[in-house]
Amino acid sequence: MVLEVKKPRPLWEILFSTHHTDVALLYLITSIVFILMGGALAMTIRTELLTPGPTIMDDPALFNRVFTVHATTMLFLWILPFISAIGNYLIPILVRYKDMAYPRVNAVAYWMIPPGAALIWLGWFDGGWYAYPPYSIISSPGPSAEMWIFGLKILGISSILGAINFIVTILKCKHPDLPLMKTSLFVWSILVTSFMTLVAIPPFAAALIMLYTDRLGLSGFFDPNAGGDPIAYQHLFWFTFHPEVYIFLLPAVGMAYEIIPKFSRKPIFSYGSGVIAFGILMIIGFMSWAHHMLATGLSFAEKTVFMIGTLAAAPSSSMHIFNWIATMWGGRLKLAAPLKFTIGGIMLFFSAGAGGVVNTTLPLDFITHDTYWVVGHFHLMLMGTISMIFFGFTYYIFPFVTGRMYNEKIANVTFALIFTGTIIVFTMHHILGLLGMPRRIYDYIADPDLILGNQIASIGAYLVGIGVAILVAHLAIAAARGKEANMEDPFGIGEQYYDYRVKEPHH
Amino acid sequence: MGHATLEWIYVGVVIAILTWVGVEAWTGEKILEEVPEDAETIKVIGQQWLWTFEHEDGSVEVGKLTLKVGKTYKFEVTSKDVIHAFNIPSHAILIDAVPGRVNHIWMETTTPGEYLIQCREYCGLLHYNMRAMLIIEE
Amino acid sequence: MDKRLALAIIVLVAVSATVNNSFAQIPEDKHVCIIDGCNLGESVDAKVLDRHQYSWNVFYKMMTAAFIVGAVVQGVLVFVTFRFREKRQKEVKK
Repeated sequence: MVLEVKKPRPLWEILFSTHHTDVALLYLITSIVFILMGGALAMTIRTELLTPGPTIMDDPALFNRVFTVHATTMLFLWILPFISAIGNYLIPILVRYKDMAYPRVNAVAYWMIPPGAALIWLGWFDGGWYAYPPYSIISSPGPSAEMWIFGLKILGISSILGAINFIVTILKCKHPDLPLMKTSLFVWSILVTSFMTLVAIPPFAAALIMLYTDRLGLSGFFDPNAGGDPIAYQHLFWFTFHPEVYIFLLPAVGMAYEIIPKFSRKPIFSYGSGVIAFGILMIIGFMSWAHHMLATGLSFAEKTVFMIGTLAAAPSSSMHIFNWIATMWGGRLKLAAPLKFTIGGIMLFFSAGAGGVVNTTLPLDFITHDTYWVVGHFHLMLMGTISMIFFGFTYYIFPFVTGRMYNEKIANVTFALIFTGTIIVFTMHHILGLLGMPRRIYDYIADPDLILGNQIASIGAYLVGIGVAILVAHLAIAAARGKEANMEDPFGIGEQYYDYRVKEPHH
Repeated sequence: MGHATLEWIYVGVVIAILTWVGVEAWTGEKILEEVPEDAETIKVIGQQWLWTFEHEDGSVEVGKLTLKVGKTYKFEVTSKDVIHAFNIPSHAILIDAVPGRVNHIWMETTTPGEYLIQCREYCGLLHYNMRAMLIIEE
Repeated sequence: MDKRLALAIIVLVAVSATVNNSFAQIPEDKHVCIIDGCNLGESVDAKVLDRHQYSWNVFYKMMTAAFIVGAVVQGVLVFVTFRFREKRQKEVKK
């Protein structure tokens, strides 16, 4: 039986532990707290857009702060900590080592998140999550911008520490009898994203420092009045954050590789192509950053290069989809909540990818860029694919974390709510974008089409909100009072579950 | 048919579709990129939170732009303070207004009428209200 | 089973290629109307290069391709989920 069920421990013992499962638990709880907080902001945004003109907020400045903090929270305080949580739980088990390579660094990486989060949430920055200068230099008020800069700086250091830890654990602490080509594909996904983190984060770290000195008036890197170039910031920023998209996505892909073979009771169709696709994406992820900037006045040659770079990412992504379908083909699918969420995520993964191809197709970028189409596109990826698979994995890892079982019926209800809600809200966003509604607007023209579209989108958003609220509430209750799980095989799929005994030795 | 064959066919198909998409997009953009020689230049200046238009003959309009039907226009877009994006949704015109740079884009006027001009890059407090009117006259 | 999958993919490509070629490429002086304001399929004089019309033309082509590929991918996923689900296999055995 798992430790927490048999013998509850005092809180401080978990807080100051450096054991990988304890740090993972902290990451997991942090990420779930922040999806609720970020989700509340999302509901605020959708409520504000129910009707044209002020609906619940009188001040556009407040709206601008809300969407900035919503984006920052969801990306850096929900998705990244969740990846670290699952990585911390599973990597040592999957590479058969007793802990992470550097347990103390691991704890430090976690404990950098609360101060970073506090800076972001107390600051309420208003520059949009990508903080384009010169707005963020000359227009953003007072300490909030500085707090956001330092918050992200701290979170960046935390990511780098985590990445180093994962790389060393996987490559150096792996059991000698276990070749790298026999490890789970989830291990590969974490390895690849860790390398990407190491390469991608430093340019943004530099850009943040330059932004800060520009704000202090000491330099003029991005300020045209001082001879700087605002576009330079966008290159540095997207050189970090386009690969970052894959840093968010690939662990979700790895989790799908963990869930699908087990719940289909079949080996992975082609392990090799999974590894190859990860490797290709790792490189190609760095070749397409300027497709976020096609409208900034790039030359025709630049636009061509980055369009090709973007299209090149599609074959390797679609190799994963093929691999999943081929794995399920001819299997015996146990349609429990983890598999349902994963299949839903895969369906939306295709839609999000197709929307991305349309975005990069050059004449079309000028129709869709910076409209709600783009909002729909990346939410379909981040919420529809990544978060759906994360929710599925939360259900999957739940017996291992708590030693208890969730209720399958409630889990199905949350799946239905979240899946339908996601489709409604983000399909509607695509259509609103084609109608010409720019993103990040507090108010829109009182056109009947736009009003109807926004109201349907808001209804979808509420469905998602209710679904996530039920999911979190149910898991919280089940963690305390659920029935005890069969720790050998909690889902009845006839496969060995993760070994709960790794949670025993604490240090 | 083995694992590898099936996979290679699949990847080939995906690459073929993407190549078609890429070629289609590239030729399209190539046609749209070239500014016709007879285009009349209009300077577009964005600032928080209004648009200013300067015609070739020196006349200046604020918040509205009057064009003649059946002519070719070239917009030279720049900004005074922060980044904006000059957007006419009904004509698929979009180009960022970046301070310190002049970007250009061109269009032909075909149908008389009144159209919306808006800002599509987040530029602060009244970003949502940074609109202007495009009037195409006979 | 593998053959069927491969065949399905080849059919998909053939269909999408046919549909997309039916929207003729825009030559310098003539193009086929596929948007509002003219009769569908009719040749239209295109001395004026309307950016909006051109871009949306490309958009509709891309969407046709995307929806065909999407229908196949999503269809296969739904089919696999229903065909190979555990409950059905138990029923079939009975």
